Amino acid sequence: MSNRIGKRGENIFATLITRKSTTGNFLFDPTFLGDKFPTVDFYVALLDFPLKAFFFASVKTTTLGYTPGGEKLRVIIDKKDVAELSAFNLPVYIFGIDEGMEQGFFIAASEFNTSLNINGITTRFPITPGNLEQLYKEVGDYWNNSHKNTKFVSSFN
Amino acid sequence: MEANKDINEWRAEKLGYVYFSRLDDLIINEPNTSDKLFDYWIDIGENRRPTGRYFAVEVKSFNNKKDPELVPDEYKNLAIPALLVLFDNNNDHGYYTWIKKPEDNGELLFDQTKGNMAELNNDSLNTIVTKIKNWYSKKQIA
Repeated sequence: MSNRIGKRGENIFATLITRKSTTGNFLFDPTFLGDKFPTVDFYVALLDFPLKAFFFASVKTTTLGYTPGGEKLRVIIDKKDVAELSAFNLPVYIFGIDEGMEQGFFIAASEFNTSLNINGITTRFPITPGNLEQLYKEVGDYWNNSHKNTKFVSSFN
Repeated sequence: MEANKDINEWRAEKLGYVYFSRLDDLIINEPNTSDKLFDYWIDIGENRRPTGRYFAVEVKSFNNKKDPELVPDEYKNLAIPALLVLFDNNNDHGYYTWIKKPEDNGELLFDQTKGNMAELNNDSLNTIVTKIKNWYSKKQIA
């Protein structure tokens, strides 16, 4: 992936994750982490939440489009990266960005089979205001219950 | 959250990058300092190589205000084309007007009135770039 495509994907992600909710509020505040964080790209804080709550985002940008039938965005993630992403004991999501269409899809990294490469990101969870509200609730619930030290479980997988 | 981050303005800047980076030959430079005159300095490249044909872009969110504040005098002596771009964070639509407008006769007009906001889309992006290229061509001949 060229630097230009990657930079464009980061900016597309930033605009998608900060879409307003159905009630007209910003839900998330993303911060780009830079090259010192090789596996995750953004720290994304929940806005207007009573606790410090956040998730990590790994952003994968593609110009390759979709699999036949449109079930997956063509993004390949090496199993080494898959293992690193699923090792976090925190909410981590992978965002696939379609560079041409300027749209994105996401899945949680917690349930991956770490012995396999990921060949495509499902298009079941587009970055829409409704799904962002679900994401906010899921991450908020995790931080509200984080003292229980249970493994993060996501409905986005 | 970054100190003093205004998410409306921050998001508008990101939308600006997304819009202008649609054109392959635009090389977008972002000043690193917070005290910046413009948000983007864009070189109209050729085959993704810089050519020095710069223009400047100031990005703002318009928060339902169609009528942005007047362009300050500090832009008056700028010697390259410059645009003011506004984004509506409710629907991601963009609008633009010239701060320093390149004219066909090679002049640059400073416009503080901001009365004519036009929609920013792929067609208008191409028109903007063509107009600036023509202006630089005129400068070279002169």
